[in-house]
Amino acid sequence: MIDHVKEATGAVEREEVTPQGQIALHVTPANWHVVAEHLRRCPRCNFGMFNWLSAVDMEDQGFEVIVHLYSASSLQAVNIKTMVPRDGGSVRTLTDLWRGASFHERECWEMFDIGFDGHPHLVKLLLAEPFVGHPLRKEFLLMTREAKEWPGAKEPE
Amino acid sequence: MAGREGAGVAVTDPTMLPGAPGEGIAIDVAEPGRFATEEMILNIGPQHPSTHGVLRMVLTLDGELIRDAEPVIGYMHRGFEKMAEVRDYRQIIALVNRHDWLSAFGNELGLVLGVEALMEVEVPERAQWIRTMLAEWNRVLNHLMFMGSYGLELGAMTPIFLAFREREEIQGLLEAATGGRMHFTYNRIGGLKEDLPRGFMKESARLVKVVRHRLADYEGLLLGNEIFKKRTVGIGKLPGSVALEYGCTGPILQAAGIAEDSRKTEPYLKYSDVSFEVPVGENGDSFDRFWVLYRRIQESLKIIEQVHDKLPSGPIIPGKMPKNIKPPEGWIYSRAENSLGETGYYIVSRGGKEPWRVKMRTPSFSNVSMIPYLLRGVLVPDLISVLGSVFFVVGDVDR
Repeated sequence: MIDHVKEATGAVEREEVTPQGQIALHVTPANWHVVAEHLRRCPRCNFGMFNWLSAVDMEDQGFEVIVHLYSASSLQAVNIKTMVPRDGGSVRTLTDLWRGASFHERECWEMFDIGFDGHPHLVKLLLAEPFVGHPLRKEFLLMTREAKEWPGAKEPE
Repeated sequence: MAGREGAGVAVTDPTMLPGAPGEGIAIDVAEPGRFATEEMILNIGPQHPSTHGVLRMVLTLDGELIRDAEPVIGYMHRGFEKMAEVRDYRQIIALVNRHDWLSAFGNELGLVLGVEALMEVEVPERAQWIRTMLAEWNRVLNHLMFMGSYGLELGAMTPIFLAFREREEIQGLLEAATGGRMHFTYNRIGGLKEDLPRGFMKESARLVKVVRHRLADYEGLLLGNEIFKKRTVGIGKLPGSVALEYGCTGPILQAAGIAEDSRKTEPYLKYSDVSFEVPVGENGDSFDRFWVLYRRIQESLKIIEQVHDKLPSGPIIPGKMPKNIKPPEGWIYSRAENSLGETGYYIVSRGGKEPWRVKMRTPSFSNVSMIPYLLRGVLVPDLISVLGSVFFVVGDVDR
């Protein structure tokens, strides 16, 4: 399956298979939508299920945006991953491919401040309207941690 | 019989007024499209009985017809993903069993399975069998709740009382093993907190018989009930491909005709060693979603009975577990078929005692995002029938 996607799109930078057998395709932000569209539309891939979308704060490297897709016919799962810069990073929306992408992209946008170009209704989802900040970024500290550091040294060895 | 021009209803014959000889009332009803109508915004919630918590629906109505609907969520957002980043893995077990408060055991499972896979820990046989059994008891507990409350929403009072009769006994059973009534925290990385108490198996075997016997009550009260059928059959139809696009899982997806269930498609624990069926609906309507729930209880009871026969003796946690749980650097997405669908955790470890990131993929979040699709073109009186049949827990939506 990986070879087929690499050949057909020519947009996969590198693939990653974990010791547990999970697959990730790394792409550039520009190719994010290209690879997703192929996985959705190509009858050989047929990834009809949009499982989830989120991001990981990778500090200096930026944010890794991940979408997890599933095929109910071949029972395969695949992750597409891309790295966007910390400030003003964005990828194209996937709402035109899977309707379910909308909620996940809205959550990702408010939590990390990652843009989703072309999203029809990019407004806050879980956070309250007056809330300032993007809580899942690492520089956003929990209120308790701001008041007092965690006494990490007291742990058993 | 000519009614007055411009009026919606017109009494045509004064002798036909109520109380007049001849009785009854004859009215002209304007045909559709004769009057210009205006769209209206109607708020439902955030506190409404059919939402099982705090969920708000913003409806755009045209008369009785729902043109558009938007769920407004987040009232119960508690920042679990952020909190998980400053807690160690044992603490996270207690954290994650709280978002879906009706299926705490299933929530824990996804996380511990993921961490165990990252650390390559061998979980003892007995612990795996006990986990399988308790996960199924938890499923029964959850589904009974929704079977009872769905009847209540449609105006049937009795099922909720029956559901709590069964739930009370099952909660007693789980409390005996775990010490908790809702938040079990019975799993540990590598196994379980402690072994089952004496007499557990006997009580569990008795309860399987009792619950199976009493399920017939629901069949008579709801599934075979003419009023219940009138309100649910053909209402809120969901095609399988749309369900997949929205990432719906569990009873919603199975009712839409797709037999996706990670217990079958990617067996974990001991699900490959027991026989059970995945019930599949035909029409994907409210009735089918309820029927799938009912059938899933029957299948869960079947699994529990098989675990009774096959449960081996032995340890419940490996002898040499480190005091500090530090999975090696890497990532994993581990999923488990929870009561309401697929509960998954995307765990990123950087080798520390706390995870770098835990993304929770919860079934209710995806299921609720699909609600606007179901509600477009539905009449207001059917709103409750549709909303109630997309079984969700608000804590599971908002995390």
